[in-house]
Amino acid sequence: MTMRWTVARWASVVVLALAIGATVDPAALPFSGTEKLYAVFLLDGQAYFGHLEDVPWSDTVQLTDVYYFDDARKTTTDLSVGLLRRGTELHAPADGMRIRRDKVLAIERVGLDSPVARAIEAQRAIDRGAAK
Amino acid sequence: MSQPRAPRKRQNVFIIPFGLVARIVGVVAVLALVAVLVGSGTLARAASGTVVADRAAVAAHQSAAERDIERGYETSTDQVKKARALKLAIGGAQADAIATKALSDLATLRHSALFSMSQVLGATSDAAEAYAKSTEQALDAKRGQPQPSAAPVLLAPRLYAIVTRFDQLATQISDQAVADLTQSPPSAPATPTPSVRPTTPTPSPTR
Repeated sequence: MTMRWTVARWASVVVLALAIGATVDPAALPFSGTEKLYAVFLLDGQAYFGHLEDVPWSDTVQLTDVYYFDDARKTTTDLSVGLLRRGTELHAPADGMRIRRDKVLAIERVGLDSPVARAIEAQRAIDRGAAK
Repeated sequence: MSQPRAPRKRQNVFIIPFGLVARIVGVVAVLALVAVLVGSGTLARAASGTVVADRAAVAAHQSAAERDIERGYETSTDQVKKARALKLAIGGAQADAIATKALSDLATLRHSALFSMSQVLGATSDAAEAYAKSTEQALDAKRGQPQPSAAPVLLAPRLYAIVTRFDQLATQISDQAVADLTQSPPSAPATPTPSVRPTTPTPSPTR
């Protein structure tokens, strides 16, 4: 009887570990790995980049430290888009943005080697340098 | 003979153990701390972490912004020079004055953009001035020479804002100069010419 219970307990632990291992992305866990930047694509074609707070029971997702693309076709930059930081608009939005979940088309992780991530990292370095 | 003791009046006394109070205070303090950490976003920032570019990466963005500014400067100055090279309706001296002023304004604008960029990157006013001057000279020296094609860079927002503003103003200056150069010369003031008076009809004989 005791032997059977021990085997059952260990089997449960193994099954639970397999289930967690198969469903949880270790890189996406908080306090683990490097920075996690997300791109939120909306149904109207807009895309916003930033840190995502996505709790299942809320009907909105929240982005903080938000950036978005600007049409740069009329400028002399290398690329036809530029990156703007949200917060410099006339109404000076202060604390991130909440987006209705039903308006979201897709949410993707931003690669840290991508041009967007590099531009954001450079912006942070500039902000720190200017603050000195 | 001893008298019987009077019954003591019972009082409602609540005894609160100190340990319980301490635990409650501790739990409230922890909850308040968690609320502050969550509310201020500190926890979210700590959970996600942030990556800051190193000096080399910022230098790459700075070089890209310099290239963009120079590209806009060349486009605008070429536009003015091409318009000046046309056979114009205005006088030569006036055309020269317009072109020289536009080119001077564009050079000042480029200097100002480089100065602003250096300041955004944390330089003092003197250092930014020195940087702007040396960069202008370097860019002028490189002009017309074949340059190795650099990898395209998505600029950091603050540098992008400087480049965008520079492009807007440079386009305004060059467009205005071209409009001034290609204007038609002012014509002489019109003098009233005597209009021919219609001759009074002579009464035709009706009969």
